[in-house]
Amino acid sequence: MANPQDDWKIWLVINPAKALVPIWIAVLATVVVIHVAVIGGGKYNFLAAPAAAK
Amino acid sequence: MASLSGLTEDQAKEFHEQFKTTFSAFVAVAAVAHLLVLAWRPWF
Repeated sequence: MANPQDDWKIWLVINPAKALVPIWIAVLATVVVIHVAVIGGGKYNFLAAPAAAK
Repeated sequence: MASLSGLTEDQAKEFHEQFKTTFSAFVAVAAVAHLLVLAWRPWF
């Protein structure tokens, strides 16, 4: 057993027909959390950037 | 012998190829986004 050449075997354990959408939801949740943290951080608040740049 | 997921080895390999392609595209988009942010406001 070695990776990455045996990575495909995960799908012998996890059925993508059931798990793929939950995986996408987990990735989306992670993306949202990271973007909220970045925007909240101030330095990288790309929503308020034009106002900050003036 | 049936797998835990119910997929055959061929099905698992076939799906993994598509999974790798899609994931590679996701990483490429994220890399471009990070390069743009780096150009905008370097974080190191």
